Amino acid sequence: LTAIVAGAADRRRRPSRTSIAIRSTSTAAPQPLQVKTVTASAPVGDDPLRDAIALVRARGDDESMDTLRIVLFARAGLGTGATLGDALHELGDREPQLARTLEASERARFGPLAERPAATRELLRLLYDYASGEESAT
Amino acid sequence: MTPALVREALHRTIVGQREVVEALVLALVADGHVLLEGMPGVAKTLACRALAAAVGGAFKRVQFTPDLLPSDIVGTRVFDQRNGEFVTVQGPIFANVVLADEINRAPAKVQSALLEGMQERRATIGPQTFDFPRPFAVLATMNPFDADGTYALPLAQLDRFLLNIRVAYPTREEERVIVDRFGAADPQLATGVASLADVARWQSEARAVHLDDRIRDYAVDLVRATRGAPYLASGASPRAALALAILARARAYLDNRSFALPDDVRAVAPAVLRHRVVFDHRLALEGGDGEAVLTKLVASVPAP
Repeated sequence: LTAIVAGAADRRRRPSRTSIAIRSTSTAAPQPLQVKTVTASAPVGDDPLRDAIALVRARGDDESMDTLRIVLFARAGLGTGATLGDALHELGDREPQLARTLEASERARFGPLAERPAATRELLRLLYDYASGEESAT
Repeated sequence: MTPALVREALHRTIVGQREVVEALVLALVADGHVLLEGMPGVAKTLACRALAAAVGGAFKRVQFTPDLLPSDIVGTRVFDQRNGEFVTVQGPIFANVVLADEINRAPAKVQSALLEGMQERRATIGPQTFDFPRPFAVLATMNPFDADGTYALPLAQLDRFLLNIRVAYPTREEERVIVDRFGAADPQLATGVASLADVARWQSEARAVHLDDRIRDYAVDLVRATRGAPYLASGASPRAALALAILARARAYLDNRSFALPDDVRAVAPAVLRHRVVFDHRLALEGGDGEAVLTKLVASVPAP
């Protein structure tokens, strides 16, 4: 997972032509939404967070961001229809990295259109930190 | 200068009442009016005075009574014998913060004059029309438990209030602080925290806060959920959806964000909806609680 997120960050730094090619090839593989708690050590192909990140990388649209948010909310123990406030309340002092990632995902999804590319880059960076933290913990 | 500083200043004067303080500052930023419901002596008037003092605005208080006339609020023309001509005397509505105390104690004609001014933000006295100073906010109070000799506000008039706040009794600890703080001296109001020009700027900047389509849809869905909902005889008007959107932006601005979140809409929903819906007779017969009905209704609409 860490490698995937790092890859996403690398690809964003490449020229836009490469990014377009990635977008067109990756849209064919959106994974069905799975609202369940998963861990970074889950088997490849059965990791909703990895799939959601790949979807954001590939499409970067509102729908893919919503998918990622649902997975992150699930990690906070909440289903669809919950808000950031619910998630932060649910987490309390636990998992500060997840809390920061959730906040960044709200900015990337609901922020002004002009600010979203930068917000998405920040989100991917936090996801990298989050995933790194999980992997090192396991 | 930020609206958060005004909120802090109000908290230095008002003990507790976080929801009231938050609502007053939000209404100021959203350029709206507030209806405060609560028992006497729970700092409703003090909060309004503190708000006006903090932004350096003109404050006027009108005690609504059954014999009040529209001209007592709006103003009138009187004959000046020295100059031999009529002169206009503007009423207390020409202020930045107008406290309409016990608004339901005046008859419909007076309520109507106030509420028309709230909507139009101007008043006509004789042949002349005068704009109200900006910012302009009416903060009205009502005592929900003392209905004798009152004139209930029609739903169409209640709709003009952006927010309706229930002012609760303070906690025991807060009440002890109140006695210590105000027992020996008058409340000290923080002045000059911001200027009227600052308020105008906040209002302009808050209107520019980004509201995503899905958050707009969430506000609309919340309002639509009130129509035909259990225990509700009538739901909220489209003005409620507008209020949710305006207040979501204001709340985001107060939180120093350039975009609104679903939390912003949900946080203000009860205060936006509670005076805009009518509960049906079953709720009273079953001894139910309107607040609980609203809370359940808001929770039933999934946030984006």
